[in-house]
Amino acid sequence: MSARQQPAPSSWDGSIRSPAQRYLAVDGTRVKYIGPGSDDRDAAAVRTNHPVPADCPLFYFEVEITSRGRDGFIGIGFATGDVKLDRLPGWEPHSYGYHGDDGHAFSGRGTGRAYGPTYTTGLACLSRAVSSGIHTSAGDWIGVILNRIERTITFTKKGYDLGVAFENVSEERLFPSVGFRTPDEEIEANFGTDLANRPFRGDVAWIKHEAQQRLYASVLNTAVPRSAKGRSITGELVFGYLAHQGHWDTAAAVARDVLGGTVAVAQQDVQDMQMRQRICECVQGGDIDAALDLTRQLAPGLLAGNCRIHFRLQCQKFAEMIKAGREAEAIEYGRTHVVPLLDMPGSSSGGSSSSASAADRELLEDATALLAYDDPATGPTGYMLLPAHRSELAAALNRAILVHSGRSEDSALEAILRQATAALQELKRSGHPAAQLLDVQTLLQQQREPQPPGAP
Amino acid sequence: MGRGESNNKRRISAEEWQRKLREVPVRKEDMNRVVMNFLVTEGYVDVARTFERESGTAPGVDLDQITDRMEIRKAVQSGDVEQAIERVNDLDPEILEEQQELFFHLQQQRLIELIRGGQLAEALEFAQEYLAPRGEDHPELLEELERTVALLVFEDVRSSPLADLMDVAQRQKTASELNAAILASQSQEAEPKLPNLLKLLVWAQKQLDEKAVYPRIENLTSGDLVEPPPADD
Repeated sequence: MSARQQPAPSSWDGSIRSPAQRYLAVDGTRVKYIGPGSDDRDAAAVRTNHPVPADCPLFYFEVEITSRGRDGFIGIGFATGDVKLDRLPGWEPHSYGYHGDDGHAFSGRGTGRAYGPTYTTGLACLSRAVSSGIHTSAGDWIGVILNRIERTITFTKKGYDLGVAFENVSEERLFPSVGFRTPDEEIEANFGTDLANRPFRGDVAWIKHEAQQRLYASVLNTAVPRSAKGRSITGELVFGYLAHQGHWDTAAAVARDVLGGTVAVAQQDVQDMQMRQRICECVQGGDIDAALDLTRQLAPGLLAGNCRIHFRLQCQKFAEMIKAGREAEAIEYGRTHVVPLLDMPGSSSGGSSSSASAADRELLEDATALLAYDDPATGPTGYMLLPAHRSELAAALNRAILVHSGRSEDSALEAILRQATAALQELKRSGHPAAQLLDVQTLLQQQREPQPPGAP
Repeated sequence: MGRGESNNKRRISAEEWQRKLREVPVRKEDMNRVVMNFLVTEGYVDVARTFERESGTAPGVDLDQITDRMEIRKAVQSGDVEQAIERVNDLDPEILEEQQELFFHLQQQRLIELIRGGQLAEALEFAQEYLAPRGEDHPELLEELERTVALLVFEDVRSSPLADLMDVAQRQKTASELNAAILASQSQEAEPKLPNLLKLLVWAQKQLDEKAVYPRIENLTSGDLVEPPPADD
């Protein structure tokens, strides 16, 4: 159900069969009314080839009035795909229109309400353009904004914001639409499909920026439940994070100054962490034996239960022996200690054991390949002896020990960051319009306001 | 939407969700920055210094200035407005020069403290000498001025209609106004970023509830994931 890369409106659809079709000359983004235009029954509308994509938070297009025709009876807006095309947008249910002859906004009926100024091709503009001899567009131009976050449609005239015209716009598939009623009315639309050659005249970046700011403000208006114990949630999160990172002095200072001594650093936590740090240092230094010994002390049963991490450590020990030039010893050790671990059932922590064992095999092959080189560290699988690989293994072991001892891998603060980010990503994937404009980093950055689009 | 909605919700298993969570990049520097921002904006200078030493995270601002700001705040909250004004002027004389309304509120607080202390003669003199001229220059402050000076005529101010001015809350209000002005003058933010993360979490989970069933964080202090109840069918 994900709304991925749906096509966006790019031109008017002149191929729709309808009685009104013969009254319109449609050419890409241009439309001209060529019907009789005697009364409302001669009205004719056109819609675009595609609806606005479902996940699009803000859709903007522009319509220039290239000729007001006889009476300038033009309507600009949106309509669903089942709205009849022999009516102006706004006259029918599920259609919305801003009409040029009276400046009224119509939605679902034949009488509108006063909304904005009229729009037309002004004679003054026309004569100025003619006398100056340059090709300028003579008519008014109307910007149309569909805001899916706030469910509104807003128009601008020559760049001036006319305010929200329609609220509670909930139709999922809306097509940009324009309708005509008197002869020689003509418009040209810009759907932003070729911005390099046909830029928008309105300041779309600003429109987006403003909408984004309103969205951020509304998210930041969300009420956060209070802590049950009446303590500071943020203070406790910071304390937990600091303790988890081993910043004991700061954690103690937070406990004292922020939390008023309601919590304290547990000595056992400090000791366990120091032990884990030692284990990590051993792995990083290539001393796998010491790491294995300390792990058995700190987390008895971990290595027997979690074959994956045990295998990786043994594999690393094998590689480190080769590096130390103890090839014969390494081969013997590999046969007796590493290979037997390969075919053991997957670790108790679950996961896809087949892909894990494939990765294990590959790792063992890489380690074995080290034997072929005089200087294993510079061979094609020399990465196994690099600090980055050792650090990664150390981190994996650290995680395994934490989980084994019933602690979480992350502090609550990190867990919240992960959860918020994952939930937001899931919303984006599912086509949630507002989520498309939100970003965790922006909320956490030093700047108060989200950057306007296009800013470095 | 509406009918049958719940049946359309995507079910995300614990394993799948865990995988997504693991894919989220969590950079230690980013986390440290958020923590430092919290300590600095909330004014925990000692903790911020310890954190800088222990984690190497730069405070991003001059911690001495925070000390000043906190002391100024403390001065107003303890009723020592004179000291607060002096310290603000030491810090940046333009703050009170440019913000007449803030300066008026500080003087008003001074008058309130004099009345609280029973120094009525001094209070009257102070009002005539310092407060009244400001009211002439700034008609928009006149009403507030009159209201404050009226404190002088009540024998028992606490039971008067002006009792609110004598509240501790009035001190807090004045202190916050001054604090915000100092922060603004240093181009600093008044709000820490950390609560934004909590708000985003609550918002995003609520939005996602309409589209999917997935392990949620219910307790913001523990950050524990709560798995959804098993599907009915």
